[in-house]
Amino acid sequence: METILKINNLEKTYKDFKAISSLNMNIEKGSIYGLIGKNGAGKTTLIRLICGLQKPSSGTYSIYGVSSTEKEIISVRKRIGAIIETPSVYQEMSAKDNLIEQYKLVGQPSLDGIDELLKLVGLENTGKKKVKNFSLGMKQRLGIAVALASNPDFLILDEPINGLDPQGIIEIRELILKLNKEKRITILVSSHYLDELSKIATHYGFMDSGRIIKEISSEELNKMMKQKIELKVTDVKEFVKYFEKNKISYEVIDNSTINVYGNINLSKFISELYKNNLVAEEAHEYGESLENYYINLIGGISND
Amino acid sequence: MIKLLNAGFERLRKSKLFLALIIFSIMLAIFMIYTRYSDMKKYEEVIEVEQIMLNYSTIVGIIIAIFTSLFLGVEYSDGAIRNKISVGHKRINIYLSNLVIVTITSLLSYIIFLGIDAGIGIPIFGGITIELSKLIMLLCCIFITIIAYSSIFTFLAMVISNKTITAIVSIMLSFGMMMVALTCFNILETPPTIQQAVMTDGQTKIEEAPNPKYPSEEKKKICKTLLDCNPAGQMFQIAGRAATNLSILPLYSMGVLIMFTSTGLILFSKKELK
Repeated sequence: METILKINNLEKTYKDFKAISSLNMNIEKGSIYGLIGKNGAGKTTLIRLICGLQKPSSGTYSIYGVSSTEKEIISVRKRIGAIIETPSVYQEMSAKDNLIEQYKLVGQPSLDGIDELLKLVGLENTGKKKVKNFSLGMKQRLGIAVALASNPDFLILDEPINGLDPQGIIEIRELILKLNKEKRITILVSSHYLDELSKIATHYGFMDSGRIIKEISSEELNKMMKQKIELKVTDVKEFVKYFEKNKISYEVIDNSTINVYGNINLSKFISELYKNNLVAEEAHEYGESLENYYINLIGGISND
Repeated sequence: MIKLLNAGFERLRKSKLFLALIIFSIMLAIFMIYTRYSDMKKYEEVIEVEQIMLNYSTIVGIIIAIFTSLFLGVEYSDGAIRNKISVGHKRINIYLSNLVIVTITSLLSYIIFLGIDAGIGIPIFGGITIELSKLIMLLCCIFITIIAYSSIFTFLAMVISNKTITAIVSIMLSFGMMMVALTCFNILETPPTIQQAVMTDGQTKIEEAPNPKYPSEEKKKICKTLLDCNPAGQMFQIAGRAATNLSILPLYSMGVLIMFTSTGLILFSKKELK
């Protein structure tokens, strides 16, 4: 599988603050890569670095095999479309005029594709209405259309659903899926709306304190997220001792409940506990949410 | 660069700010002709049409400051700069294309003013009274100074990311440059002597005495240099036809252009954008 974006030990420091720290990341062609992290995790800084708005303090990244240290990195960016924080659109112009502007900027030989692009993002009926009078969702969709003007094969969307109403969120989600499936565009989408990302991403990068702490495909993640066993026990301490000894990922919920995580066969696990004189009063298997997985990953309250 | 200019001129063409600038240039020319025509009728003054042509130069700096800060300020506020970079344009090209657009627009504003002035003014006030070559020389100096002005305000708009701050700084600077120029003018025009009343044998006599405020040679040199370097000072000298060194003024303007553009390019290339 071709790697579109490869990041090696990337660092970005602002005076004393390290916004990006030893970050490694890989995005494969055709994927929808969900970059997950809380506010301040460094998602936007990372995107600014990839898009050339800022320079890394150290480390490198390569886009389509061209390293950030090479001069050609500027021209390789022509293959990228991006929305960073807010859509780059002129507020005093109409949607169509914004696209004409972008077509000229990227050097498209004709303006023929503009109507089709407006239709793709559902803005074909906006006429001469100025962007400043658009809803947030319409602005986001126009931003995506602007980013698509150069026919990119890699699209970067930074928090595309921030501030959108439910209808707007659905529209953006469907548009992202459409672009990925129909136009074969590789997409990097950052967000802190985990449930939304879980509906579209094929790969995830979990980010915390300026680092990617885990990269995982949605298939792998789905397998892992199914594996949560909630045990009702009388003696929590004995169970904890056993889990620590056997390096089993667990979380003490209260003095009678423990959650156990991992790729575990429930019946085998119960019999194994029984062999060690540990009897659970109840055992329930749950599908874990992406949110729980993320919280456990960044070390919120878990013991791994 | 061509793509950037294409997109830039497309935006300019649709810009209401540009339209306002063109209307302002036309209205200003008409207003100046009207006021001079009133003077001619009231006081039977002889009006030199070329003087009206030169007068816009004294305030054109403020106009360029307002236009540039608002037109280029949008590049940051609407995210156009980061868009241009993320689609693969070099920062140097982005800066220079904006400079070219601002310069051409500023020159166009003056040319339209001149056109209206000549078209209406010459039939009313009569032909140009100075040698045509002299007028062309003065106008060329004005155009070169407009380029210098454009470089200063493009520098500010590209280095400062906030549209409001850019507008405030640019407008204040344009007024500041005018104030410095007027102050230098006043100092340079200080007479070497003043008249003072002296009592001799109970009679009052008026005598010429050395002016204590008369500047030293060193101070005069500093003021002259400040006047020549400063685009507003250049414009005052050109409009007043007081420049003793007209051929040197464009060199100062080119110096301003090179200094601000090279510094701007360095700062913009290193600028961390959001």
